[in-house]
Amino acid sequence: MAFPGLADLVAEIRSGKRTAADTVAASCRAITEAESGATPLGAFLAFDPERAASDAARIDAALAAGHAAGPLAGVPVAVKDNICTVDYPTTCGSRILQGYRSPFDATAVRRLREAGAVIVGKTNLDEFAMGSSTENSAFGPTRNPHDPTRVPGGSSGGSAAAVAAGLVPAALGSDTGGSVRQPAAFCGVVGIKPTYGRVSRYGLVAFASSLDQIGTFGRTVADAALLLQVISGPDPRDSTCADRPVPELTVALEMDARGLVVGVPREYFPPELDPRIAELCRAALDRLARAGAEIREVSLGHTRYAIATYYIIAPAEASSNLARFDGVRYGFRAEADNTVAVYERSRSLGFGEEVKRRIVLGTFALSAGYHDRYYGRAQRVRTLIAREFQEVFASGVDVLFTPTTPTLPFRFGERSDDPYAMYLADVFTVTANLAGIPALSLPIGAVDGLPVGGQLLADRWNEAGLVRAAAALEQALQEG
Amino acid sequence: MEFEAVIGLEIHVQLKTRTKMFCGDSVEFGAEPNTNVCPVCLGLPGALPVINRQAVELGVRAALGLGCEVHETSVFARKNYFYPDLPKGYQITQYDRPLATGGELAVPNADGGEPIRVRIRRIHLEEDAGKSLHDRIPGMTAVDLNRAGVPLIEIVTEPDLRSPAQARAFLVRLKQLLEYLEVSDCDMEKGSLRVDANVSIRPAGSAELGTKTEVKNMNSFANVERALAFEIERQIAVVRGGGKVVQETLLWDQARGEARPMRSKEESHDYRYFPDPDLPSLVLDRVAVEAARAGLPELPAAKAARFREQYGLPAYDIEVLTASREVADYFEAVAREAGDAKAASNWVMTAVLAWMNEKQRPIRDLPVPPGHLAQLIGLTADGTLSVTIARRVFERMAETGQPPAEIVETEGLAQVRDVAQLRQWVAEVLAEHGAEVERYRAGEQKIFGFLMGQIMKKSRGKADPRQASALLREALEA
Amino acid sequence: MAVTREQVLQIAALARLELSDSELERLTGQLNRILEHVDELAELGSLEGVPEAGAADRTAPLRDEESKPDALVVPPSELAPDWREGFFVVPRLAALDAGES
Repeated sequence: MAFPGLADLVAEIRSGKRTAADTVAASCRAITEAESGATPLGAFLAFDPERAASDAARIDAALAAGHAAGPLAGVPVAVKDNICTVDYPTTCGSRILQGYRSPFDATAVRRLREAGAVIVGKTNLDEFAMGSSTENSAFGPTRNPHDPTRVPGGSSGGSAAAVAAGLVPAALGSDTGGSVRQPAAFCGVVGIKPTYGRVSRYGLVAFASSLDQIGTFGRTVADAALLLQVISGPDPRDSTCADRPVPELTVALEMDARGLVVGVPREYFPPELDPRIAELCRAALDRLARAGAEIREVSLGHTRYAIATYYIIAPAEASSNLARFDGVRYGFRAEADNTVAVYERSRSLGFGEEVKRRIVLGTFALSAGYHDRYYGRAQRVRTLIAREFQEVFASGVDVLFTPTTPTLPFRFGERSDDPYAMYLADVFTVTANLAGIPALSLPIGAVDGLPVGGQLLADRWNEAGLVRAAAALEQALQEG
Repeated sequence: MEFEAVIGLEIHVQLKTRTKMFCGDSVEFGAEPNTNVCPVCLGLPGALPVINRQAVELGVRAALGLGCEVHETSVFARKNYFYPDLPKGYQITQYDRPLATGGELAVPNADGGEPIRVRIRRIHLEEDAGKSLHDRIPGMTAVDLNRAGVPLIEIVTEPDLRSPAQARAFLVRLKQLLEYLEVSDCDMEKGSLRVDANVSIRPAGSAELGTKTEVKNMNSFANVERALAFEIERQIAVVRGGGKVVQETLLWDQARGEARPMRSKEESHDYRYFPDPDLPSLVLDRVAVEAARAGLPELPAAKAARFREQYGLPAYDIEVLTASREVADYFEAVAREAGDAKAASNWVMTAVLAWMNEKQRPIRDLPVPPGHLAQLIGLTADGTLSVTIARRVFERMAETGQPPAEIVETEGLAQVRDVAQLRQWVAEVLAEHGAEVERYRAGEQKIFGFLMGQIMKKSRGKADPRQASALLREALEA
Repeated sequence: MAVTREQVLQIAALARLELSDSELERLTGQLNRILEHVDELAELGSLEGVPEAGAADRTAPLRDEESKPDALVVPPSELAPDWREGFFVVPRLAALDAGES
């Protein structure tokens, strides 16, 4: 099914042209259908048409009673299953949290509800958001809606696939090293990772706290931006969430590309980049130039250290963040006759292979004798990477344009034997997380029916500039 | 060979806040298990810490009171280890960038020499763990997380103490200081003050440090002294026997009077400290720190010096009166209103402290306001009340909260100086004790005391003794 | 640098993970391959004077004591794998049965 854009959808619900109940029911029907049969999409880990219907009925009743409608009144939204919700389990795609029901809502979820959105279900992911293919979910993989033999990307593969398949008009994901942008690219939708500190992490189950941000998916830049607008802003429950006003992204959508300075960092076009992706990137830049943007080649020399830096810092933080899953207070507990055995058995049976690999890697990077060489050094390189971006943006570049991924969506199992090859799927996306800057992926074309994404990056707190450039590019591509 | 002990202390002090270090749960003591808990202190997935402003302010006050340098920027880190009562699998604590460093606390030298200057190495903020009960349910550990996340400061001294007695004296001073600063209630029974000690020995006069052991689980100052004495003797015996002290952690067993190695550390600890990515730096406003410094109360040492100067009291009195800020304040209020510091000191050190000891209650619960005690002192000074009666009046005041004049009035306790009444009591006593009067007159002088006693008894203690004695003598010699 | 099987075993124990022999074997190999790449950071030479990135370069907000804790929609008793008499319950540490309390 196809939803109109969010702005139109909400306008129709508000004007009574359609009801929240019908809209949500349509979404739930589509989900039920997609998740049944011989080859289910695997996008949802939980969905509940009855609950969604009753939430939608409440919205309709409020509208009928003349109460103010929120900016997302009646919009069905899917939420990645590492974001806490009181009305659905929150499993993080892990056996260790199978059936776990969070006793509180994430701040982003609370804001969605307050805006009138109806949460129709929780989406599949790589376990604890660790992965780039959604193959690492304990509850089975998600298929790419464009080709069921291929991965949807990850870790927010479920949310990306759900939006791409038209099951929901918008969804929440989380992005630690590209987990919103890479699946957005693979599934042919728009994904935004905001500036670190723009959206509260309260209720996002931590993978790597200094890199994690909740991000949004939509079919268009406008839809992803509207969802972001709703969930952004200060939160007293997250000390790393900035006390800054949220920019009006809808205004940015109306601006065009004239005068925009687009930097193209040459390090993001290496020989390994699929030439067909490179070609689409060049075409997109041509369109932008024709629409009035200035294209400027720039250099970000430390990019080559980004994957190494990321794969020390993220596992190090993860090794500590995942220590709480010990089988004592909640979640899965394996039978054993003493405390240490309970810990070891619960964690060994509860966590999947990739999670264990990263816990071991991260524990090693922090351990006595290796801390300075690995963790300490990586945090210094991270400073260098962030500075480099600051310098480029200070030189008058408004946004940077790069491919989102070095390859087309790959087939299941293609990379599962070589963790490092899988890590390279994040090569263009991890820098934004390391530097804390906002970034966005949008479809820039297709190769053999498989979508290709282009990435835009902007300076910290410049979501408005990011969205302006993305909307302008989207427009330019449509005009053909 | 003579040995000398080298002792450093680590003191965990619970800060006097209403809520926990990183969440809004109550720190109330004695609540039903696992009732003061929320997503943050349960370590639930997705929960995040937020620093308690009051805890920071109290930590700063403690640091200033101990003469530390308070750092404008300090950083919370994660100390990673697994334990059933550690909900997140790490403790949030300050590590390489603590709140404050480099203070000092002087402790009087029992040998009468110069005070011992104990240097404070650092003070940092952290959260407490929960409580594990290992013997409540057979074969199981029961975990209560009410304590998890309670705000603490850890005070670490340099190894400047040389004997168990010095360690105890230091702790007494430290507790006194923290109470003055109103930073903590320092109640060891409730676990709001806990002490660990690092101990080593070396040949007397040597400058090198020996291998140290850490002694934990000492739940009173007396136990600290005993445990240290035990451990020092043990180490001396090891070295004298040709052995080597092994670096280890020992638990003090109060019942058996011995410290035993802890066995639960199965693998060597590697806490993998790193800055907590959930918490940006703690940055203090310099102006606010200076305001806190200016707002510090008069500290024990300064108060003692002033009492010496201003009231000319003996050293012992000063020690007793300044032991707690409340007692010192009470004494000063009485002294001011009575205009007699010596009398105020006597009353506070006897009657008031006796009441506190007997009732086991703080002075703020005493129903006698300083003004009333000052009035009582006035009534003894002008001869209205004898000292004995005054003590009785004080007891009534402590029971009823009434001013002394009212009690004297309603109970007719004022000293009787009416000559006619006194003469009548004298006459009655002489009449009733003819035999004794004879003996006195025959030269048995000590009978005078007996007869005076009879007069006091007849007057129920109210006869003005000076006048009564003059009248008795007059009557006997007549 | 390369890590040995024994090191990986030690690290796993620190992280409270129980690894089978085959898991251990595979993980050691994979870890070494990852570390090989990660060691490229050494190319940057001395980074003396470059500060470590992280949350520490921002300023933490402070919470007033009036703020309330987030409510629990589900009580801890319903989350716990084993809950008795108001406590979370877990089998004891083996060391305790070796005579420590």
